[in-house]
Amino acid sequence: MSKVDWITWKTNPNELINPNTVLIKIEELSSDFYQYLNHSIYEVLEREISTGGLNKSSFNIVGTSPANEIAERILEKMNQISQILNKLYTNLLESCKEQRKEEKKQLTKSIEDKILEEEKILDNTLKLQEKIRNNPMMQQELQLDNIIELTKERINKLKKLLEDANSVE
Amino acid sequence: MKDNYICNIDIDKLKHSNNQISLLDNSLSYKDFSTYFIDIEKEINSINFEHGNCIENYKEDIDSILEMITEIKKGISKLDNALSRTIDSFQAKDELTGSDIEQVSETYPKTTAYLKLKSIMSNMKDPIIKLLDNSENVQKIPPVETTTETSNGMNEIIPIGLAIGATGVVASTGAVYLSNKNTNNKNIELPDYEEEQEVLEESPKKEENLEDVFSKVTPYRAERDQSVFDIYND
Repeated sequence: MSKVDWITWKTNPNELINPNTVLIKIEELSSDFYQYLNHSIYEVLEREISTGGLNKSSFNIVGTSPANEIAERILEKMNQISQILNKLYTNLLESCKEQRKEEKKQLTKSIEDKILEEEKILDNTLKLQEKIRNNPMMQQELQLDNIIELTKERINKLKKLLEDANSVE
Repeated sequence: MKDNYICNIDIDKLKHSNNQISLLDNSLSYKDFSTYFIDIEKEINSINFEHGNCIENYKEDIDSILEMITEIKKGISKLDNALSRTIDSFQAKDELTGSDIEQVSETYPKTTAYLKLKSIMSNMKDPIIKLLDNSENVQKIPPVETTTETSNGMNEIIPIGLAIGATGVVASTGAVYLSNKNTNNKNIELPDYEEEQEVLEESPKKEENLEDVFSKVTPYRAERDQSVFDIYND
């Protein structure tokens, strides 16, 4: 029997983690931040460093420009934030892919195990039906026919589900 | 040989930059960036990762980002204050003292300028700075060595030119010079100062005239060692 209780675990391949969906959500959250950071801070500093008072030629003491130095440091910090965010996205993407692989494995395993269980149930039911047919005293045949049909139906659904799960990339 | 150290300030540009940075500082004081990343962290938590390296690193990444955001806000605030003080110090002043320039540089702590100037000033006794008026041609000021005999034999002059662009006035280039008043010794040796030269920017050779010196004023090379200077930690 599978360690995973397939009733509580994801039973639908569409429920597997989707890296793109995850990243879209994160990107939505960070886009506002980027917009503010870039337009409000970065562009202002860049402009002032390039042609304004924070340019090295606009203000310097003994050959160095302290205001320029501080402004460049701030820009550098902002570039570092971008690098860290990019790294976060990359890690997130890789982790999503890894997670998806594992979830697919668990899903297919749990479906296979359940198919085996149902097939065992079907097999036992068919054997019992045979016994009843050979014993005129037993009147359970009709009910067993229903059980057998339902079991076969479940097995077919599970096999279809397994096929979908295996086709997931 | 003494080097020529040049100071330049364009007050107009500095004022404009100061206005821009002040606006930025004000708007940042009302902006809480942390909410973006708290939400990102919540989103990643909700995924309940069991596999991959994301679960190990993303909290550290977000903490780093939040720390940098704090440093950026602090840096902008400091820059705003420093620019304001710079403008106040140099605006409408005919005479500047060594302490004026020192105080200005102290508003930019742990920058290359601060350290360089501190090194220079620590080797000079009672330095005075005089702003030359427009009538004086700065190009006539020769580069001076410590061993050069002056006209009165009293002062050894180490020229530092300070060009000030005045608002609404045709830009006048004044110059200030830093002098070391030592009445007892014409030949001033500053061994400590000489040893510090390695941290100073290269200067024109003695035989160059001042026109060449000023022509080399821009572009300036601000050398800074990131590992040494951390301006956000006072």
